[in-house]
Amino acid sequence: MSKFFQKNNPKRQRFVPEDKPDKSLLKGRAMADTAPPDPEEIKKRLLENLQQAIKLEHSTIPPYLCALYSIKDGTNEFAVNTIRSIVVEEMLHMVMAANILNAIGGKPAINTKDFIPGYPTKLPMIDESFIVNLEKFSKASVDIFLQIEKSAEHPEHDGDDYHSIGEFYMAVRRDLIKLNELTNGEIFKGERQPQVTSEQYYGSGGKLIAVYKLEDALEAIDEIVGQGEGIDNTIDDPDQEMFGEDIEYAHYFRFNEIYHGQKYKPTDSVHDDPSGPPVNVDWDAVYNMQLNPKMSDLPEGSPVWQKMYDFNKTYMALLNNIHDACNGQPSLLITGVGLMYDLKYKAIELMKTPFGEEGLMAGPSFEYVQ
Amino acid sequence: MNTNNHATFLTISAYLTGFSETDLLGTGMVDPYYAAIRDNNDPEVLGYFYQEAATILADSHGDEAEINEAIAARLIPDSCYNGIAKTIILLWYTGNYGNDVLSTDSYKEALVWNVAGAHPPGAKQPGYGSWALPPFSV
Repeated sequence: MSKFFQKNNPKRQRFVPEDKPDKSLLKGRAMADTAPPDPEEIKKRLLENLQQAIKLEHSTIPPYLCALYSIKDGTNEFAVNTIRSIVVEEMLHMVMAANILNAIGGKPAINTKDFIPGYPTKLPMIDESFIVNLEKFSKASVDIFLQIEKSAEHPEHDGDDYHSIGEFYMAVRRDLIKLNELTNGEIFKGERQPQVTSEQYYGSGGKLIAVYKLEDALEAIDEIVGQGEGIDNTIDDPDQEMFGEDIEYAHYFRFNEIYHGQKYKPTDSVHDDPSGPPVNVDWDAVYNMQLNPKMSDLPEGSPVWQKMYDFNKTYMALLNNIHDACNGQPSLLITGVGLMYDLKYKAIELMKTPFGEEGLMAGPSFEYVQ
Repeated sequence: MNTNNHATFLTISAYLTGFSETDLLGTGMVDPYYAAIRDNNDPEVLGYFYQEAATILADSHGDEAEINEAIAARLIPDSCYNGIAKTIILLWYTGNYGNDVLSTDSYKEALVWNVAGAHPPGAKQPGYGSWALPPFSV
């Protein structure tokens, strides 16, 4: 396989070729690379950034779920399958980020109030060029998903936030390599117990990587970035087939197929829109979910408020479950799957429940509750 | 659609099943069940049923005990309105009209699963090993 496919999954597109020099930074952060490296400082930054990475991965899940669950049963099969498989991979990313954090002695915090974004929101660590909502499946929401998953490579820029998820992970990657070098590998504890492994993670795409050493951490990051990112504008090999039956598309391209209602064909260029066979996308077969619903929109104790509260209680139970699973009790994740299903059914009930104005429906608000 | 009858159907369904109107709306089954009752009953008898139900709801001014008592006396007996009230209860709880499953949705959304803390086999899967745990409740 060529350099355009990932080592850990040769069927998966990769858009930042391995032999490409890592030039993606970033005036503000370049300081860290030139100053004499202080292992304590790098470790502190890594602990913080990996916690942010878990938050970041999680923050994409509620918007994707709102789009997914707003689609009426039995319609939009292509979009449903696509979004569902992407959400599952985001959950995988979240757990892998926690695995890396655990591997260097951190403690993932997944059930705290500030872990949950208040939608509409910018993504944690990512700049404010786009805002993410809790909203129904629509061309506009899929357009935002495209921005979430956009390319990793950007020109140098100022400011502390990153331009893309890929760029953020590259900074984490560099810090991991540096810290591993400075500590002679001591930074990786190699403990088995806190690692969530594929044993606890079933019924999903992607590969869950347990992290015991630097190579595992880098593989996990490559998997996370490789699944999501869109095009690298420097790809200029016109003969390279990036699409086709045997290739697993990055999230960006899968969302782009929904957006255009058309699949890629093997000869399409990554720079162009898909031009293959049409897929059926019915933007109208969707529950008319209220944009960014909040419990506070409703009188406390009213029936729909109660339903949203029940949803959020289930959501909190799930976050508590994942928190415990990522803090030394990985086997708990199996019971979390039941909560995930329960959350889905409650979300769909909300989508069918009228909300205020004529024609609008309630929806899951993904809020912190006690 | 007769909007008055439709509204009465939802409200009386809540009293007949013990679930809130919001819960019933959340199943997405109000419209199909309303249509099933409409299509399978003599329009005249059904008209009287809705009239009686609306009268019970209006006369009691929201006094729940009074409503329940009136429903038991005036809607539930087999001699009343061809047993429509019982049919409505069975429809909501089982998703069946008589002995037939109304639709795939009615099977999935039958209230009996919820009450039993169970799930419709083959649909709404609950996750591996969930059978070893007590049903989740918030």
